[in-house]
Amino acid sequence: MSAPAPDAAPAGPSVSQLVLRLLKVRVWLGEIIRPNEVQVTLFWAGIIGFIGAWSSILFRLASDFLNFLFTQKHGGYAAGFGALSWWQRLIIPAIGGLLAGMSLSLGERFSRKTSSTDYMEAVVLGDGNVPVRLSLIKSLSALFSIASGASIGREGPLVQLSAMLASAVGRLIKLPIPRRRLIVACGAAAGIASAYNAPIAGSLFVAEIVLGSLAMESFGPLVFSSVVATMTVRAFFGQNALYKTAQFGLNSAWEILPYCLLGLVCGAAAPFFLRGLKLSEKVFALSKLPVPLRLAAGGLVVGVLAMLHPEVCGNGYTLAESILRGDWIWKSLLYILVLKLLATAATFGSGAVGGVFTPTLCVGASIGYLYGAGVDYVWHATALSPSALALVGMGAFLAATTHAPIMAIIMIFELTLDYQIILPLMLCCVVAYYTSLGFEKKSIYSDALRRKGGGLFEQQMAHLRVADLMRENPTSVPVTASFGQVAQNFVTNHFNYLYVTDKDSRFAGAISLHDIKSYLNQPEIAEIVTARDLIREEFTTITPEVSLAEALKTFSHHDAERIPVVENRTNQKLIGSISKTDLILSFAESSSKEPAAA
Amino acid sequence: MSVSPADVLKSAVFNLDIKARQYHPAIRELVEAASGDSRVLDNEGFERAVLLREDECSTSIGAGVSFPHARTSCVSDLILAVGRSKEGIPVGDDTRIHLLFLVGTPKTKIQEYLMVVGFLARNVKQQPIFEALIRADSPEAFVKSFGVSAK
Repeated sequence: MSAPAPDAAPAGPSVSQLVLRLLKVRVWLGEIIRPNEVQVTLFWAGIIGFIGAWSSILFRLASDFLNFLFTQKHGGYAAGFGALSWWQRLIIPAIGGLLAGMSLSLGERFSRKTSSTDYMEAVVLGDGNVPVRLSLIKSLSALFSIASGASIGREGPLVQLSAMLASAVGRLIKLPIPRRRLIVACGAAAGIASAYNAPIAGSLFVAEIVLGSLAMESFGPLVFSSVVATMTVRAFFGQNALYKTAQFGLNSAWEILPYCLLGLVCGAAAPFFLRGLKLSEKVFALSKLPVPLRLAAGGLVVGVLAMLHPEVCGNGYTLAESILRGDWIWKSLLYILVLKLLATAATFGSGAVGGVFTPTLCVGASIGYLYGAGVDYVWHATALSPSALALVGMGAFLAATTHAPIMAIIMIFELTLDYQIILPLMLCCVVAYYTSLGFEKKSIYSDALRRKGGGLFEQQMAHLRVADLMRENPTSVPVTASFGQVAQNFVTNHFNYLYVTDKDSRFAGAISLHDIKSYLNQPEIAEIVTARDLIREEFTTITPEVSLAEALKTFSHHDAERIPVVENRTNQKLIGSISKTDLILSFAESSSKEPAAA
Repeated sequence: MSVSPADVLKSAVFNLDIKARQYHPAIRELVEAASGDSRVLDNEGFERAVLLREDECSTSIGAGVSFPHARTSCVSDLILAVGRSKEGIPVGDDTRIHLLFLVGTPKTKIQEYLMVVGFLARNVKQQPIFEALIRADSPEAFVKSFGVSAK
């Protein structure tokens, strides 16, 4: 009998040992780390936090530098304006407004006017795309306004820039739409967190106001992004609380009553503040001035007010800090408050790009301090400090204007790192929130959210089908693929099931990494086995016309992260796959939009 | 996993003198040998599945050995049928198959199938075992060549 030596002439398909070793390492790592799509999203949220923080740092440095060019002074915007002569205080905000308006006008001329830059729209209803050019134009405009002393906050452009960068990253790594929206939300959270050195408030701002949901599917990445952003900013600017205050606390249980009443005062005042801002918008709109002149007019109003009192310039941070230090007598502060309200209304109404968050805090602090002075007058025996009421007033007014009391409570705590004040703060914020609801159902962000179609989301969800969330052309191998090809696909793609198709591109089944992982160190198998020998034929599939609710039900009986989508039940042609994470995110967003729609 | 390679070998069907001189008839002869086993539910279906798989991609690993196999519902449990041809069955221009390991597995038993095929292929590629398999004069001796007690 003449049998050839077994080792003499090996035949059959050869498999790279390297590929098999790589796959073994991937399986080993996969079993230890097991990164699913949520964890991958967390990773990207961290990256977004880092990038967002750097955009904030650079924007802050740029606005400080530009402010120096305008005023030739360092050390805060209000202080810088205070050192200027009256005519400089008059014209610098007007020139800044003109430049801001011109950059907006020129930018819009060179951009597609149909696209919206608003990150809220991108998160709430859009496809997670925040256009780069328009965002940069708006940021440049904001830079001119802020640096020239407009009464508007930096947080608006910081959030915008951070969200824009997040959107760009989402597009670059080809995230599906639901997760791209979440990543943009992470960018917004990073923007807030880095603007205020407040990671919890950053997450809660987006969760409570934009997403309207604290579901862990979305809240986890927001937290991750905010924390990374805050740590990055702290490494650059230091770890101090933004507002340095004395430690406030309750000296007696009776003191809770004035705090409670402060909630009523702030809750009642907030709707009028919002109406004032809207009225100013209408007045400027009636003027029909071109955008550059309109913003210049807004700047001019601020300039006139700054002639009277330079503290009205800027976002109000310095003013709020001096109020918290107790540097004011009530008559002066009342005067400043009126001027600050007018300056903010003029800036906001003229259409300057920026946020009203910090001005809101400043107004809240003023109201709280004035109220505190009144309490001190009526109840002379109390040791209650007007500054303590100013601090709580900041939170209460913020809660009443944003309709986000949880965020407001956390924000004040993070801004001051004063835990002693937390009890009156919580009570006051909640009272202010409910009181403001009694006067006005809309928050400062309601119009923006409604314009962006938050109410349409439910309708859209009802019509969404698997086809809308499906990722097309999923990775697959033919039934004749060698074991090596199968292994190669598992190495290069982080999934646990590899789809297999027949020669007509029909779905034949899926190969489970679990089934083959024990045999990766057996090259002999690689010479015999093809994809057909490894497939699980009874693998759940879904068709594109199935509703998302049905798809979710299908996932509940299926342990894979993805389900293959076939064209129809007859031809079984593999056309895509749908991810459980995308589906859950869509539902989390949908359920959170319900109250907004109402 | 409930079975071991030793269990599979001990319950294997043997035809140590394949008469056919062509590859597909040799597979049919081996399927025929297995047809009396209660694990084969549909003899013709099993044969069709094995030949279909063979047509799709050869199961020869060179060195005179092939592993015709199919995952099919025509068998109720994993079954191994061993065939040997003294003269060798020509496949291609210069290759002759001396040992055929026909494996039938139910569709759900992917890991058992890989375990058995891996065990057989790994051992049969070792020169001393291969030679012992060629020399074995009985099924018991054949099984023993794998280092497995026939009892």
